[in-house]
Amino acid sequence: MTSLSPAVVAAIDDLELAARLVVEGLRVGHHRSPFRGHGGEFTQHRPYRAGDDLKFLDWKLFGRSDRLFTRQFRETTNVAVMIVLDTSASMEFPDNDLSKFRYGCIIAAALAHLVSTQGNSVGLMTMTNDKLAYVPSRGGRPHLRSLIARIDKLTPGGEWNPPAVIARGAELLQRRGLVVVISDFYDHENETRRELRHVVQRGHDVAMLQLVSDAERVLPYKGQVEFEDLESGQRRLIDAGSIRSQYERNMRDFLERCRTGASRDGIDYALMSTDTPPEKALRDFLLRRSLSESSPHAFGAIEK
Amino acid sequence: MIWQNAWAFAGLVALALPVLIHMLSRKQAVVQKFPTLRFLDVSRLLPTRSPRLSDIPLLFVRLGILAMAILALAQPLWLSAARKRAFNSTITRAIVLDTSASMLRRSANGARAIDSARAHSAKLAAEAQASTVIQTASPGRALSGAIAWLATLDGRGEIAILSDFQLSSVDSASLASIPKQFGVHFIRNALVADDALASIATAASNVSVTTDSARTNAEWSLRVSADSAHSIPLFTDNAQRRDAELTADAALKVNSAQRADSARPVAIVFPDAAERVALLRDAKAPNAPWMADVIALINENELLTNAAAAVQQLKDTAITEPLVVVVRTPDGAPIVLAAPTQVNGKTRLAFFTRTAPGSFLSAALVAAVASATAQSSMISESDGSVLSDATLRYFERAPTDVAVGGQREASGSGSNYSDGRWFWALALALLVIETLMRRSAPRERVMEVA
Repeated sequence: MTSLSPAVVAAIDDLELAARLVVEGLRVGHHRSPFRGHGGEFTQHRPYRAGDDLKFLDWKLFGRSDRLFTRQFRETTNVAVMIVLDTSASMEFPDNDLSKFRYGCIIAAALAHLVSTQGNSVGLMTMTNDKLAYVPSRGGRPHLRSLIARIDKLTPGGEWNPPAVIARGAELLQRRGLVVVISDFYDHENETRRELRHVVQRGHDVAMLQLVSDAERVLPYKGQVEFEDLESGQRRLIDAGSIRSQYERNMRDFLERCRTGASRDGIDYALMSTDTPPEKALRDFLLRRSLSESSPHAFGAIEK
Repeated sequence: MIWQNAWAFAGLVALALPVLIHMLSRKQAVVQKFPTLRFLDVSRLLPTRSPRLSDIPLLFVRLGILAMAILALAQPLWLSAARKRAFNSTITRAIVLDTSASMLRRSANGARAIDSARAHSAKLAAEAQASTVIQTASPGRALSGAIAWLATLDGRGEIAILSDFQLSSVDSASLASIPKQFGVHFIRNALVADDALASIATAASNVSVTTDSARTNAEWSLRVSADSAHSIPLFTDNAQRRDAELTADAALKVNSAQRADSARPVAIVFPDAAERVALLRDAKAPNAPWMADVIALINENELLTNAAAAVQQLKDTAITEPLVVVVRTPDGAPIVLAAPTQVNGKTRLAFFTRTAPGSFLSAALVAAVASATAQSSMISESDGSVLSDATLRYFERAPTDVAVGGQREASGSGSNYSDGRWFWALALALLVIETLMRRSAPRERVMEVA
């Protein structure tokens, strides 16, 4: 199977078409819902986490082992997914290629398409012009179309407040569900991580899809370069060649912090490069997620 | 290749300007929008000025433009053989020909130095655009006249001196007085192979002198020029006074331009002179260098030699030492002898002739003596010491193309001519390259990606 290259995907103006092409590439099969929740058929125990509903505690097991376990059941109803998309100006990079923002839109639309076609509900939470923009989590084809149209209308710019957006997105989910945050996670690093932890503690499943471009990872410039911050407009004149190694080290440390922090907080984490075909990046993410027994499967089966 | 305007090389200091500009100017940094600056190390920010040269290829092109322009301004001229010939034809040449006694001596090939010098001067004169030949027994004194003549003309002036370059011929002061724009060219004529003066001295030992006191004498003054009062006494019998006057008149016609040298007192004694015996009695061997010069000059005088060949009758056959034989007949008989003697209390070089005053030889002798005693250097012409080639080379130089009048003389065409146009063409080509490089600079400033 061949993947659509980022350039091809970027050339498709119709976001819905792009999302459908990406999703069709995943070859989603028909199957029973793999989502594990708290209603329906029991599937497994997992260690108790603060915030878990006490009614699902297995007291018999506690009596035998003196340890608290929460019972999990196969979800028999649709799962709610909230996609949180970063629209800050930093996402508008690289400016001469498939930007992180466009890449994130395609991933968000593909996920929405995937979730919706599985009979689950999907919503959108983002921030435009310093105001929260919200599309409630619902199912159905008309809703999917309006959601994708809404994503398509988003334009990156300014700064955003990820803790507020994430918190509000999780709060507006009608029930416990999946919160997918698509961002570069440059802003408010600690606050964002803390908020994601809170969302997890509230019982939601959380996935971090971190978008980076190759240019951000390797700083491929040379000579005197005056870097301008896309969000603040601040400028710094730098000899790119002399700073490259230090920059790459800083960048690696940052990405590593994001990865280990997510792992520690029980968050699914995927690093997606804009140079990787969205279809492949999405498939890798979903495959890894399907292999994880603790994650609710809202996306169906993925062909390996 | 010669550089006609070497001062233009002072402009080479201007080459420092582009270097300074490229060193001090800073390339405009490329603005690159970037998601975040948080990972860019602040301590690695660039200094406001970089000491390094920027745009080195462009710098070299700009240096090349300046260098080509400077070379063109220096007005280079490649001198090919053909161009040299054409270039030489623009020379205005003053030729100073040494006619001193030493130049009368013969060289190894038998030719007289003066003859080869004259031939050479004619060749030099023919090659020049304009020329004059100044014949002088004292080349050093003639230089001022040559300079004055050159100064009246445009073109590349050159003074050519043809001489044997005895020590007395030219001096450093005279040569140093030649203006820098005039070239100086020395042509040395071959050194004399046999010394005529030595042969004269050898011949003198073979003659004897007799006296005849039965005659009276008449002293007659020969005025050789209007502004010279120097006289050459002619001792003869009163009865032959008319003959002596005719002789003097004839001699005056031959040497009308000669100017007598008062430092060389001479006298001519005819056979019938009353003082002849007394003068012979007081005669001594020549003891001054100028005497040898005068004797040598008279010995080489063609007119006198021809006259001697026609002599039929001789008087005073017995001649004794210390007289020096100056002229002989074709059969070897001494006909004119010389020796310093006391005339009215003053030492004169007396020439004792054995022909009557009215003879052709007598007239030739008076003319020859007048010529030989004309103004010339007092330094002995018989001195074999000459100026070294190294000394002459020190003063020798090529003429510049700038004449006294400031006009620039060109090779061939007569216009301002140089090969600088090729350097201008190169500078123009480099300028085009520089423009292209400069125009392409914005494209280069688009973000460079490693």
